[in-house]
Amino acid sequence: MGTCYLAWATDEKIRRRAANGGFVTAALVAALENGLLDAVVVVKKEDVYEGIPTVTSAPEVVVESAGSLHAVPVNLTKFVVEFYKDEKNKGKKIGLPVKPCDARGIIEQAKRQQLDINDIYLVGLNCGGTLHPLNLREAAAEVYGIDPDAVVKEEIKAGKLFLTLQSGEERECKIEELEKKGYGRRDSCKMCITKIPTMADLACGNWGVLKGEEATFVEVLTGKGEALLKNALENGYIKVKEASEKSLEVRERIKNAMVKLAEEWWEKLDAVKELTRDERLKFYVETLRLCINCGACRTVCPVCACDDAAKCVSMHDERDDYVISMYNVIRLLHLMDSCIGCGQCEDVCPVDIPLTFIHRRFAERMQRKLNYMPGMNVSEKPPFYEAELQWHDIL
Amino acid sequence: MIKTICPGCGLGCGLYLEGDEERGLKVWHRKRAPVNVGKLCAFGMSLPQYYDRERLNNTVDGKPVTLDEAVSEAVRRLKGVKPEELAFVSVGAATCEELASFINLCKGLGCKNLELGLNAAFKTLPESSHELLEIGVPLADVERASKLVLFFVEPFLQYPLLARRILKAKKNGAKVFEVAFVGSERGIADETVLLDATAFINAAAEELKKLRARKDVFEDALVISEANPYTDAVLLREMFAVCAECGATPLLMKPFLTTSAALLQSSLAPETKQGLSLLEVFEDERVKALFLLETDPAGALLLNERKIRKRLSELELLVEQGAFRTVASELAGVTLASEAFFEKRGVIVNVEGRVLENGGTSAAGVEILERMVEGVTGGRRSFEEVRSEVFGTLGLGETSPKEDDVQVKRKETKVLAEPEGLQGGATAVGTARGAEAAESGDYLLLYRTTPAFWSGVFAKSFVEISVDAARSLKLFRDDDVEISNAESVTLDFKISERLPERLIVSETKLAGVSERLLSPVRLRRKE
Amino acid sequence: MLAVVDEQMNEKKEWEPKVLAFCCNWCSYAGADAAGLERRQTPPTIRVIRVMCSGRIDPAFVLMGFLEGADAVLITGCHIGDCHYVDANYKTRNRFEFLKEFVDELGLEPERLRLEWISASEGAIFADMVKEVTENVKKVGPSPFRKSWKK
Repeated sequence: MGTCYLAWATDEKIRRRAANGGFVTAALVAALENGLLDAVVVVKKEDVYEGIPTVTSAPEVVVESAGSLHAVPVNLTKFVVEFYKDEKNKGKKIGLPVKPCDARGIIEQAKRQQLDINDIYLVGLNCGGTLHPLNLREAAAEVYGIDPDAVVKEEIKAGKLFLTLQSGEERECKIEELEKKGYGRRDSCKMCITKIPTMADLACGNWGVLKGEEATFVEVLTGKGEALLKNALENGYIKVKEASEKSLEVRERIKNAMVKLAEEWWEKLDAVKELTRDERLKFYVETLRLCINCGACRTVCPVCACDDAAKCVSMHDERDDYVISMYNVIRLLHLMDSCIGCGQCEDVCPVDIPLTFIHRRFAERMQRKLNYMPGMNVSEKPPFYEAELQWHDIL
Repeated sequence: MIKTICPGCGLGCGLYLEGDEERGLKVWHRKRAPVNVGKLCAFGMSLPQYYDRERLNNTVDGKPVTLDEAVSEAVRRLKGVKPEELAFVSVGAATCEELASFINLCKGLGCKNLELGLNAAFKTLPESSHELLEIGVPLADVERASKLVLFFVEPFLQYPLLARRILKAKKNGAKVFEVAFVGSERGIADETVLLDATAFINAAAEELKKLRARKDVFEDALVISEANPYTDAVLLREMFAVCAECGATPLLMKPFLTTSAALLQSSLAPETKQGLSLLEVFEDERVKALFLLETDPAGALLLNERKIRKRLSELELLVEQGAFRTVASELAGVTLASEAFFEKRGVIVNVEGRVLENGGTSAAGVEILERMVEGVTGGRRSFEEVRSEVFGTLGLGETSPKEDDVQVKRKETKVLAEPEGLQGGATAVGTARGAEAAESGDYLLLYRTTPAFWSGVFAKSFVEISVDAARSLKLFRDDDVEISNAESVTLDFKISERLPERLIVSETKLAGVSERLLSPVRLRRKE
Repeated sequence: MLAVVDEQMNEKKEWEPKVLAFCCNWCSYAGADAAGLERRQTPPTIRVIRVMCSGRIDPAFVLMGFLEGADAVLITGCHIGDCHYVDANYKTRNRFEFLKEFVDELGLEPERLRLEWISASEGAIFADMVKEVTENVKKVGPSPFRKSWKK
């Protein structure tokens, strides 16, 4: 465990705009203004339901983009990969606030030589989960009884989802309640157990921030993380104090409760758990038969790094009449060691194949067997290719 | 990133496109888009390739000119043609604003031949049913339906983003029927009512009458079908007749962005709905001049390119306005370069009646058209004026389009009057043309009209054939098949278990072999 | 390679188990040969594809074998330490771990997939293994992936 602090921005404007003392925004602004970073990737808010990933070197854009966007379930990995594909961006130092699944995706891409992890400063955010924008709109209308367009701000605090209206009025509902009614977090988030981004450079959030305090709980995890914090502190962008025992305890307790909940959700969402072997096979065949070969799941997958010569594509022939296509079996196989359960594939599947849970079924057992979690540590190579990589290293 | 709409079909899926000509475009999913929740089909995923085509330039008689010269030359030449010899055609990716200007120009020239993709269907159905053809129902209604009939439409391939709505309906307890020559590969239907393609081609009306015995299928159902420029008139009439008889609600899917066009045509130039259909424009020799807007004839027509070229070169005048070069470009007297669809500012209306804003910033297409209008009538509108005409026509008034609401709705949901003319032996396979009879021993080639099929950009390199056909031709996997009619093509095949023996399905145009959606062909192993 | 898999699996016959065996050129292929030379009875269920090394066997080939309708797939190679290419069979072993879990999760019986190290001199072991696999597969029945028309 790294050193833990409570930190807050000295700039009042940032504090007001951002959540929980504004440390993340202040640290990124500080890094930009003092040359530690060349650019920052932010999700620019269009409204509560829409945000667009943007690369910026302008501190004011970073400040504008502060605050949570739970209903924008974007994974930034492929965005960052695309950024580095452009020759002129090679070697640029960038920083970005990341959910655990963003960080894990970026680390997996680094393992696959798509980017250099030393160039990227990952400011991790604790994550209880994200919501689908249209699902939130529906919930606003159906559960909160308000006009979805009137919502100007959303926030998750203490297990509740708060929606703020144009009028300033605030409405709340327990997330548990929402989820009972079929709204709430995406399925992948419900079953995700990576709540604190310990694989990032910093892990930030409000878990462990005690009542009355307006600060961000920050765990410093790497040298890069330390550099970010030090730069912000020394240049007067933030103030810090060491986190108390109590803070640490509260944070740990919240995390454990979330993880337990996630494990319960996995039990609930695992639709094949009760099935016999034959029924399971039938389920996979009938579900994957819906696939229309759009290739979207591969495109958005934050751990996939193959180009068009990818095996899942090149060995797939639409003229085959296999009960499950080569595309799907190869993807399922290749992701057994690498799936991080982010749910992007399911989000973009045009025929609603429940890909998150299917991939988790295949990956969970392998990752447990190998005692390996993808995306946690850049020096742990993907086991499926391990033998090859050793050989590669020898050469 | 540009928020844009996929022009692949009438659903109007939302997405972001990022990049430029140099680096190429990239698709990002826009999960907030209410039509498709950010999801895209293979066509949507391939939009970068769709947009990566050679751009059209401003030319007069093949020589590069400035836009001003092209516009004034187009005006001069269009004015020199008799209105009754002129036709205006747009079946492609144009915004409502462009279409409104296009209609304006057409009317300004006194031309009555305006085809925006549905004239054949308009002529087939009674006036009271036109609205049902123009606008569909909200896709949420598909999810809520208790009974669905897929009437000669395979949503997974033709309108992929509709398929998930049908799956949701099924999950909600809906019963799903399909009426088709071949059942869906994905087993979506609870029951498949199969019609025989050979019997259909020889006597469509007779074969379709069988459906009258299955009122249980249609009663109070939501019947999903397709109206494209080639949709069989008899099929469409029968569908509406059955809907009328059984109190069913029809939902007509359409390729291209036809809903926008149909709504505007109905309001702004209703008299043209009885005008020449797409196919007639290309076959009727009275047409001596043609104005194409954002239309690739090789994409929209099933005719082969040679035929299209021949016909176009016979014209006295061909004017083309569009973003990309097409088969018509080198034959056109005047070409006018506009922007690609994703760059356009403007709205489209999707099949539901949702008015969707395309996030581009360019108004070049409208401006070119309005400058021509000025040359013809003396009046010229700004983009904003055209836009407010469009909003007025769509009944939006001054309110801006809201993608979350379905703003253009049908007044009637049910078919009121049964279409006439079902009787009679001669049928019209492929719009108002006598069918070629199928003989025993013939195979039948059925086109499956996907967005890629119409775009003319991506083509699959194989056809599907039945197990029996593969056996009787003694085919091995690496063999090719030859499909022939007037001409022949050789290509790969896929064996499809569910196909009836004599049916061949193609998602690729085999122009020259078949010019209709269903036609008799010969099939053999390529030696 | 794929064409070979395809060809091997699509002969038209009445159902009897079809066992697809990938054999390494340097060991198990010779082992299979030895089984023949020694006139050991091996069931006629086996279809052999020779590869230069078990390390060449992409798991996707195995999955394609199953999808083409193989009732069982055998992966055979040199004993660990004996690889003609030094260490390639370590890769085979690594991939097999994935395949085993994959096939099990997918819902195919574990009997349908097997990895065996067989040297050029182990004809008896080869014959016994084929016999055993054939018997086991007969018990679990035809592959659920086989298309009815692809007899």
